[in-house]
Amino acid sequence: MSGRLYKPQDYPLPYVVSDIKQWPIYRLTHDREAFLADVKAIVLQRVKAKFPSSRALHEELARVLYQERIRLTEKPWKADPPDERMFWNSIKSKLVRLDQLNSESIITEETILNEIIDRYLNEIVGNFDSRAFGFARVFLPQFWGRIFSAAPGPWLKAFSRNAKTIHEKIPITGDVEKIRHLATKGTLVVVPTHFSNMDSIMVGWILSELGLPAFTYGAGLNLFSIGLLSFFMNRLGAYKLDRRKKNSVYLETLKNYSSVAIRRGAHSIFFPGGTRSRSGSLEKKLKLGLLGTAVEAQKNHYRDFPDETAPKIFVVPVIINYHFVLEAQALISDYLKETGKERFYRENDEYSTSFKLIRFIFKFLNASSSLSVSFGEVMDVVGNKVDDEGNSYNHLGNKINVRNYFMTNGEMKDDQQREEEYTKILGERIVDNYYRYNVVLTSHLVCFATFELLKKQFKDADLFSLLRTPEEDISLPYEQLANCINQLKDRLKEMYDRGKILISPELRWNVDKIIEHGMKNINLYHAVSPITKRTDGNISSEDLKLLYYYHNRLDGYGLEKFV
Amino acid sequence: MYLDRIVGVVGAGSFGSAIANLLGENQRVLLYERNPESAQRIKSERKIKGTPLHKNVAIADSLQQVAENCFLLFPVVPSAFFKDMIIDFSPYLRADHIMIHATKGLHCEFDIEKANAKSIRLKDIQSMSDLILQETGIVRVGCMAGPNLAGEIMEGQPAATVIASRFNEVIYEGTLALKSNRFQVYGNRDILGIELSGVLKNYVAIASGALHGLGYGENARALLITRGMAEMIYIGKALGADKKAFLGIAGIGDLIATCTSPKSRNFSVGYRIAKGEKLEDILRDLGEVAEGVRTLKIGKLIVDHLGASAPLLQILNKILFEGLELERALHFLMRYPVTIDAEYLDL
Repeated sequence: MSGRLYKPQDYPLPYVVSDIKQWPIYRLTHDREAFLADVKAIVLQRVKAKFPSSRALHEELARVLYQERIRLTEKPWKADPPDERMFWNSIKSKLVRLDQLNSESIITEETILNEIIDRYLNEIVGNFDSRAFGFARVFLPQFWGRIFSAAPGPWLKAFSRNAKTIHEKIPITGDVEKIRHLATKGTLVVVPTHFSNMDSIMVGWILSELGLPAFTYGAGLNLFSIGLLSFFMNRLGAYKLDRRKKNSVYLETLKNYSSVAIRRGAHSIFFPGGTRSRSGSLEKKLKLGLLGTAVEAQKNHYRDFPDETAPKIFVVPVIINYHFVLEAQALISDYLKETGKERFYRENDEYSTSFKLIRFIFKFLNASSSLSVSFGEVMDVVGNKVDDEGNSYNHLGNKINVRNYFMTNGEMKDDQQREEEYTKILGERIVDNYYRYNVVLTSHLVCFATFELLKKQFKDADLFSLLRTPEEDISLPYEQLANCINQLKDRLKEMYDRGKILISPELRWNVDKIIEHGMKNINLYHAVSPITKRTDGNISSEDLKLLYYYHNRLDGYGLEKFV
Repeated sequence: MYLDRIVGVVGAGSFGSAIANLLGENQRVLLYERNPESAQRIKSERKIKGTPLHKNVAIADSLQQVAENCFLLFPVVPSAFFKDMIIDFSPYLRADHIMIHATKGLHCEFDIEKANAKSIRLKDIQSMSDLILQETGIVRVGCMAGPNLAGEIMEGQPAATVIASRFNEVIYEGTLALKSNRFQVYGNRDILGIELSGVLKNYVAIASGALHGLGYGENARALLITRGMAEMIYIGKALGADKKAFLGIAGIGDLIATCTSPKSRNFSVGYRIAKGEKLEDILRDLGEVAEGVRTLKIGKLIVDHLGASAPLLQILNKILFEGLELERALHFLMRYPVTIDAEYLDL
């Protein structure tokens, strides 16, 4: 890794662009009407191209209405505006009237489509407030400082601690200087792993600590009903996305909102896994829809600008590693419930009040833990590596022009299927980065080893019966665990040397200290301990589901062969 | 000629020149031949193995010239030379090139004569499209395969082929370039399946030649073709391909053509083995490579590595390389326990 290394006390780094008015997101907000009009025009054009006749459009609108009415009855959220039902009733009556009226009516399929797009856009649109951003930058370190505070103790004491110590608790690895420089040369699309609802604020804050201009990002609509989160997100460039809405008009609006924002140079954060990882493992399959908007935006840049001036989009994978995840328990139950039964997760809105969130924070104040944030390789939209100046190099190490990916026989041609294939390639590279730049924390290693050893011990049991094993039947000799961890340590070291994974500094300690550190960190948060030491010195677990969840973090590396 | 463009063909063997002539009907073509003397001869005679070149086909001076003038490239060289060719070609290739290969073979990173089935890694066995992706900056890759006996194409007889690629655009551009009144083009998205169909049918063709050489008739041949295809599907599935490709033109279609044509090289290998000739002598006579013989060796390594069973492939290995008598081999195959018909459809 090249570039300057920053020490904890260097953060927050100076802004790469000091005048906030020059930030793309500021200009986007400032120029909001034009921006939204831009998005709307494209959505209208796309939907009309897909449903060219008024008959076809009429049927599609009826389908949208149907899906929305189902959502309203089956999955209502507190975040839904009070006039939601009224709005869709009026759409319904307009569609019905359209059926009865003749063609001279002023209401047409198109005016109804317009109305729906407007409503969706109003819901999605974010609002960046530069003053609030500055405030957040000062406030958030304290917020996080308390959550991830190292010293257990009363929260008031934690509150008075110097906020900067937080940076020692959150080691940032990766070529920070390169990312800072590229932010001035093009548009960044940051693609983090997704484990917790805290991720979006976490990443937003880390990026601001790096001195980068504010990012725009999509956050689940349900999170906006939490007053405190909503306050920050609304002002930090968040826009709202609603995963319950799967109708064509909504998806088109959402996609183009993000695509146009990128085209207008707004640095963006996408969670390409879609939802939080339920199982606790790193994302293997990404949702390509939003990711595809980056590819599309890059193509449009090449179409609209000659070579030298075409703005470039850079994709930056980020891997966030927590010793423990706030919603671990709910996530893993969801996962186990859904495994093999249903294709889609139930989208519930847990932690739905500020009160609950604050309770969370208070719980954390006495916890001691750190997490790590690791940046992967910066890529172009087709997954090629880029150098410090933003030039692309293919896997053979040859400098290339990304425009060529969109050219056929010397001409630039629109081809959606081609872009989808490029998005798949980009997705594969991102997943590859997630695995290679994942930092193994002590807690993950201890949980992985313990669960794998238990699996061996109960080898006749399938996963579900293993997870139901009563606590008193679980007893793993400490020595066995220590040996296993030693073996895994050697293997991880070897993988680290080959650039297959990263390891936290604690992993160089001796095995007893590793186990102690891992157990301490993971047990501090959970009311029932995923991993405990029995009075006879053996290892046990009060909650095998949680143990399984944290174990999954090291899934997919083939490490089980070394247990 | 109706397209205002030039496409490139690399390899002026019998199939390469057949494709160049087909392409010549729709657009201008640059044909590259590696051997400078042959290239010179073709240039002056305007003939390859006695067949005249289409007037739209020009002979290229270098690979660089081909890359600079053509966005659409058709490499048609034997699998054993494919990697060297693609490495030579690579410095001139970019992401805006489209490459559709027509080579029915597999590349091995290890020496197939010395390899041990246990210790090989499957990723060291690569299809030609894997090689293109690995060795060049090209992303839009495709392959063409089907019942395309070069001689018949040269004579202008009707035929069809399949172009397979992840990219619709590759299928579209390939079709535009190749399609004519006597040549039909189908598309398929499963490139691995199409590549494997083209490779695996080669050893079934050897078996078919052998049956013919023993004097057996059409019942036996039909049995061989259908069960040979089933075996191809099993191996293909194990390597990650979809069964559909094997049931199409490049699968069963190509299989019928090679298993029934005495003109096919692989067929004649089997035929002459049955007539009592030695493998070394046959291969020396043929001059050109019989992909089927290579496929048999690689196929056996794959099947043994996976611990799978492929009776036809395994018994053919015994016949060709271990001297098993044909009659005994046939006896073994006919007594092989079988269950239901067309079971591979449920795979």
